Amino acid sequence: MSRLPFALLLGLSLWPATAPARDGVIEINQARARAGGITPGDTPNFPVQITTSGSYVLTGDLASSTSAIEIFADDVTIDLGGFELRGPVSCGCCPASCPAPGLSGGVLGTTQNYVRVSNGTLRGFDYGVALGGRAIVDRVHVLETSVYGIYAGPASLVEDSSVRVGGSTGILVFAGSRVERSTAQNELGDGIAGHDGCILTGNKATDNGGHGLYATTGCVLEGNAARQNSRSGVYATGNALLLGNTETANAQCGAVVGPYSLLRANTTAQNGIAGMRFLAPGATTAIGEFVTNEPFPSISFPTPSDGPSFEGHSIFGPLHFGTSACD
Amino acid sequence: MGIGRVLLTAAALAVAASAFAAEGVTEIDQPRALAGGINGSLVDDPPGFPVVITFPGSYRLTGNLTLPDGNTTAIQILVEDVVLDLGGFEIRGPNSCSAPPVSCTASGTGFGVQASTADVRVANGTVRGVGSTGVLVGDRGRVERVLAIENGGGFGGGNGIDAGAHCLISESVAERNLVVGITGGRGCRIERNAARQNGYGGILAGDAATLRGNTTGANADFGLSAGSGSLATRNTALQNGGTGITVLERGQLRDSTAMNNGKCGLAAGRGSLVAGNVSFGNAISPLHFMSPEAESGFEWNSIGQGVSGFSFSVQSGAVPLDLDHNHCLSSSGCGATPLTTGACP
Repeated sequence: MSRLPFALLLGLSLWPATAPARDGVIEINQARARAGGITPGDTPNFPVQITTSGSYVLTGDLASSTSAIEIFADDVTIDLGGFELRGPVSCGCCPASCPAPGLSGGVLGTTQNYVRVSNGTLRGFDYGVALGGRAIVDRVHVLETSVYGIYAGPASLVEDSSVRVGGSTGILVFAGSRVERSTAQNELGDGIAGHDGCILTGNKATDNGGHGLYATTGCVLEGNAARQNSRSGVYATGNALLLGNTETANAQCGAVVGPYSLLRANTTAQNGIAGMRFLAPGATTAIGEFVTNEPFPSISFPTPSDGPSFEGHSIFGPLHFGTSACD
Repeated sequence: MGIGRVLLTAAALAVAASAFAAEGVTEIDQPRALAGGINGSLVDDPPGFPVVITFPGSYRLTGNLTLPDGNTTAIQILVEDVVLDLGGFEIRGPNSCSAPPVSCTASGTGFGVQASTADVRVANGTVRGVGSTGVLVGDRGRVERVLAIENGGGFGGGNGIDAGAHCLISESVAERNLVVGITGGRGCRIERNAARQNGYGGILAGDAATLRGNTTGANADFGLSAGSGSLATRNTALQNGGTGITVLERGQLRDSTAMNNGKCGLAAGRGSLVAGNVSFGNAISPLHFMSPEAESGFEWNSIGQGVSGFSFSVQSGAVPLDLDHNHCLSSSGCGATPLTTGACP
């Protein structure tokens, strides 16, 4: 036997047992979910269990009374194909009113890394998309979740996505992650939250029950807009860099900034307690801020000695020293 | 030509013809890789790995590729102007690498994608566990949305993503590679990537590069390092073993955060502008000026090492020329402290 026929036979024997769609991408739809066998070990009905790395695409809407898709392998790419995954949870609005949290998820894979989910809608799960580290969530729109809309582990990227009407934090990402050009609205908790070293850029957070955006130490927040949130527009615990953000009409403070941060060209207006609140110890530098918060205080800090170093600012409204509900 | 060679070539042409999708994209998967002749010639692309691309055009993975050992390359590109869409699939070798200090189990000479030629684009997939570098592209190469994980090996190879001059590397992740996570040559743009737990550094760029919006963490040595005349902006460096972010002479280091790194948070060469950064909790110094010449700018930063620590450091008595509007957490305010040569980066 020549080498080529042997290679061809070997190749044919390696075709996956599951039915691939065009380009080798495995299709998922309601009928295939019910049939099972989308990947080895996938039992009939929901959830669809993805046990092998590779590329998957939805070719129709999915409706499930439990989780829709569960992932048990790293390096999985799921194109939602513009379709919708519909789960068992229903939330009222507004404010969001969701049932007690359960465990269902639209796309669930918190122990798996390097998972990419793109281009579709998830509605009515406890967790919309919940993934491990180094995930990419792109153009995904999540509605009515009792817990997180989008949850991703360290070094993940969430972009051009949205979460609306949920019982907890809308988008939660861990250390070294980025959230860009995304929207969080009507979440009971914070709109968008990032952990240490995160980058939050160009997002909108409105009408959330917690803070609009929340960031732990060392994050960069640039060009975000936070409006009408029940707590503060932006809350950065410390060592943060706030560039060109806008915080308006939030119930507490426009921006709450932890120690040793740097602010430049942010705008705050019409916030309920103060425009900007600096946590003790102050030691923060602010450059070119525009704060118009009359009749409420413009700038608030625990004691006069905690005040930031200000340059080139435009501030309208009284200063405030002392404790603050924004803390 | 013998009859065997004729039959072989005819069979290869048939294989190649079937490999073209409707859009004119050549498809690659494990069976086609083993069959060879991806461009229609078993001479150019013999059966088995590597898949050898000898014609410009578009190629797409339609399945995972699995390599038998660390010395095997998956795809070798010998021409310019090639687009390789990994299609969300994975090139998988047998290598497995630990968190720092990184050691790998199957180091070798095999690449995931090896293209020393110019104008090659690789996108949208994973390269994991190959023996040497994960993705190598030449000048003007583009690498987008690629995960490069646990690659590394012999003969100096072992970067996650490695590109030549004037490249673009974006939205990619490099993790636990043996040497550097992402490296680009002169004039590259390296944007919105994440590099973590690599065996030497996170992101390394040549002169005149732009590094924007990257996050780095827990790399064994540096987080980001860029050559002369580079711009590093909107990056974060967290808990790297060495210095967080470095730009060499006449660079700009702006609007970034560096926290809890093992040496200095930020480091800048002669004539650099360091502006708008936040740097705290780093072991040696929040900011270090590397040159003994007083030509650097230091403006609008918020830095510190602790009340009892010093604010910024200089090498061999260098003093920044322009020291303005900084906040320094230090009992001595924003004053320079000399460091011995080589302490940072």
